[in-house]
Amino acid sequence: MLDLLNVIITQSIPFMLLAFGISISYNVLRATDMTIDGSFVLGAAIFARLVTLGFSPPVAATAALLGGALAGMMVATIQRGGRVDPLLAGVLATFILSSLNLILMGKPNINLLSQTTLVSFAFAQSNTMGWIVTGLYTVILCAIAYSLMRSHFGLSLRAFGNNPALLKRLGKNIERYRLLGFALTNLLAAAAGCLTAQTVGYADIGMGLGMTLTGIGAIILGQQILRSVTKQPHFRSGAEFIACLIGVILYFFSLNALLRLDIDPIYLKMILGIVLIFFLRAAVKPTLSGNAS
Amino acid sequence: MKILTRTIELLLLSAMLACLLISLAGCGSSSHEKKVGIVVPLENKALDEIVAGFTETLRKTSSVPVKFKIANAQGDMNVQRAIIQQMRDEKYDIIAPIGTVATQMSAALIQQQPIISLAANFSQQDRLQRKTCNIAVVHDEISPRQTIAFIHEVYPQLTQLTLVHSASDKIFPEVKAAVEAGKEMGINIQPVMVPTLNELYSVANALPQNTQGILVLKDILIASGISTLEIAAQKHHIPLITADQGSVQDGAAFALGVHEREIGVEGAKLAAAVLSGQPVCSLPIVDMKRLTVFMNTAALAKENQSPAAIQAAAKKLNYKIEME
Amino acid sequence: MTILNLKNVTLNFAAAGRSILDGINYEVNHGDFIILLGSNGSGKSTLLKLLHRDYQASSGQINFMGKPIMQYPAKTFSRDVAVLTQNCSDSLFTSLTIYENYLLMKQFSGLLKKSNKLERNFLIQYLADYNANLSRKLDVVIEQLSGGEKQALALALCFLQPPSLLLLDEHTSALDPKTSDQIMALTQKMITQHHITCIMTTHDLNIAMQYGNRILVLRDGKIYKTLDKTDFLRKEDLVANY
Repeated sequence: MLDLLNVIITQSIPFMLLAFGISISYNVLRATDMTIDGSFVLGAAIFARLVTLGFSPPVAATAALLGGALAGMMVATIQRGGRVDPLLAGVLATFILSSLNLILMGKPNINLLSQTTLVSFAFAQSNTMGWIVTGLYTVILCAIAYSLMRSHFGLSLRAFGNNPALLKRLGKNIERYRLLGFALTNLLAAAAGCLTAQTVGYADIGMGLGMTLTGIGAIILGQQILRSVTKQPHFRSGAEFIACLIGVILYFFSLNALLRLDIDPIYLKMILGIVLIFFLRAAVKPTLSGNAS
Repeated sequence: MKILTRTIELLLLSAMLACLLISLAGCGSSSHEKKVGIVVPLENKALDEIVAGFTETLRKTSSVPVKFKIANAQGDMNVQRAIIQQMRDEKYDIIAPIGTVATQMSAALIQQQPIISLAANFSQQDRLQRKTCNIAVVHDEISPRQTIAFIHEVYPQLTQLTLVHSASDKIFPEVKAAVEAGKEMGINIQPVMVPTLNELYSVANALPQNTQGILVLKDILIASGISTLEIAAQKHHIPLITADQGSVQDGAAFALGVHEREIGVEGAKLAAAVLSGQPVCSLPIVDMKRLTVFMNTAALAKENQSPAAIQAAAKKLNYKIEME
Repeated sequence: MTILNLKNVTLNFAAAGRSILDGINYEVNHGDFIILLGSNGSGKSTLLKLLHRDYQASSGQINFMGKPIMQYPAKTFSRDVAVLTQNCSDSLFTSLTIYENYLLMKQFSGLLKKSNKLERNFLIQYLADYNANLSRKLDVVIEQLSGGEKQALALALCFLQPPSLLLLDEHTSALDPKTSDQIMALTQKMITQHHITCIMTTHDLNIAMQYGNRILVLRDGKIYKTLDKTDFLRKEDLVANY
């Protein structure tokens, strides 16, 4: 049981940053941003390349976060003026990033096992210490993002996601909010990639595959569960974050529990989907209109 | 009706939870058997051959009974990590990851149990730099220089070759080495990168006009689309040369490579040694030395190529020949 | 004092193949309450959109407070010209709460924010003038309010910093008769209290009779008739001129 708890926590820690970023883009900016797959790898790529070139881990990590922010600004620029649908813009940005990541890394895989990273000193002492330090980075970054979302800036981002036309009519520069909003979400994704690379020992060009969809699935799951428990149809930042946490933990719980039930991983995703559907249907009561309450 | 549906749903959910609790209570395997976990990164014929070679050989050569778990991560990093952590937590006696990424992840997450890495780019230096020395490796690369030298032996007049490759982890240094080897032997090798399988068709239909052959190194992505390149090779009446048995079976003319199964066999030998008590760190890094020339005579005929030159070259360089 | 001056204003849409507004000439004085009357397709909503810069005139000139309307920076313009439509979601951030909408509108108007407690106390008092329920629902998300409550709130937020020109595009047409009357009465009260110039579109003759000091009848994109409320105007006359 302890082992199961341990793997759920260790798998959830770096993923939380990614999930929080997706939560902000999905709930606040009201956009499904596929760029996150690419930004996740970008964060890992920049960090790994700089560290292997001899830069200090804090410098490499900062560059990784800035890279993620720039990727977000790129996708916001593609969307500029609402001319390109956010989903399509994200897909296009991912194409660009897949080439960019390869160029940055110089090769498709960079080994970090013997490199000094932000967490290597802690893992050298013990696994527990390593994960505590990794957890601390996650908590700090999440806390900063959370306070931003609770501030007037966060409120303005929400307003942008809800009614950009009104915001524009009120004389605000909506492109600025678009730029900053997507910069934040992709910065978080890059941070997740950067931390993940350090914990799994490599940065690889294919490591971002499916991350956005997994994240969206997790946050929607968490929201549905929280809604059924609290009976609140609308959330604010605190509840959104908790919903995120619930969804991520539940996802990794399901994944690992199914593996421990000796289910062949080939059927894993199908069964995971069915199990999650059951969770949602059991947790959420239908309304007369047929929509989920 | 609604009540019935809801009841069924809740019952199913409860049944699943019950199963989970029972399994978590600790129903393990027999204490006599050794547990060996194989981590397969994604579905692929070549990897299946490696797994087959590994499991069959280890069953035969191990001094103790062995129970295998073959887990396919389907290209998903989260699934792969969960698989490796599960094998670690359930105290598997050996974990055998296939490929570089699975090996790196296993090395990062597992410090105690022995790791027998198959077909990975993990050097002796990487091994020595680790805190705990718990990993042994079977390399699967054959030197691109050997491949180019063989092609030169088969076709001394050949001067233009197109090298189709993906963006996979091992391929870039190999492409570079092949190009350099080509230069020394008077062959101009033109690399063409194909990032995803969707783009292979356009590349196959836009080959340089003066190309005299298509070469694919040990490249899982390109190998999975080999039939597309085979059609192009037939159209131009040029040979399609690869580096693994599977792609020759799928339609390439010939390949200089290793039996994927042999990689598994070598890995099983290492695993058997570990299971009989030998420390994993004392085991050498194994490089595949026995090379085989795989030939597809039907494909050669369609490409208007003669098998005789290939057979003669193989004999001269002491390579085994196998017809597919 | 002339607040709005339209000189030969025309608006063409290529898809329509005709002029939606054709040669509109009119002056609006400060304090006027103009009712724009017309059937569907007469151009009354389009004219309002023109005045709110959602569209740009194809030809002619629109001057607001002596300056071409398009020359005003967005921020200044949004302070001076407010619009309420029948879809109050256009004027509110519907996934935010009443309090959050208030904070945003206040911030965007350039007003300084006081402490949360002071702000909330002020808002409770302020909203009581508009709708008794709103004061109790500061933390309720707009989506959960009734149509009448939303429109009352939109009005309240609009008057946080009273505009110079208020444009109302059938803002009560989606409400039931009782609520519609309440909102109209509230609107009139605020207009009078703050001496605001107002242009309102409607196809409801009763509203046209009850409110405003002048009626502009639009037909096929042109001003068909101008009726002054100081004339002895009966509903039958209005119907005849409609």
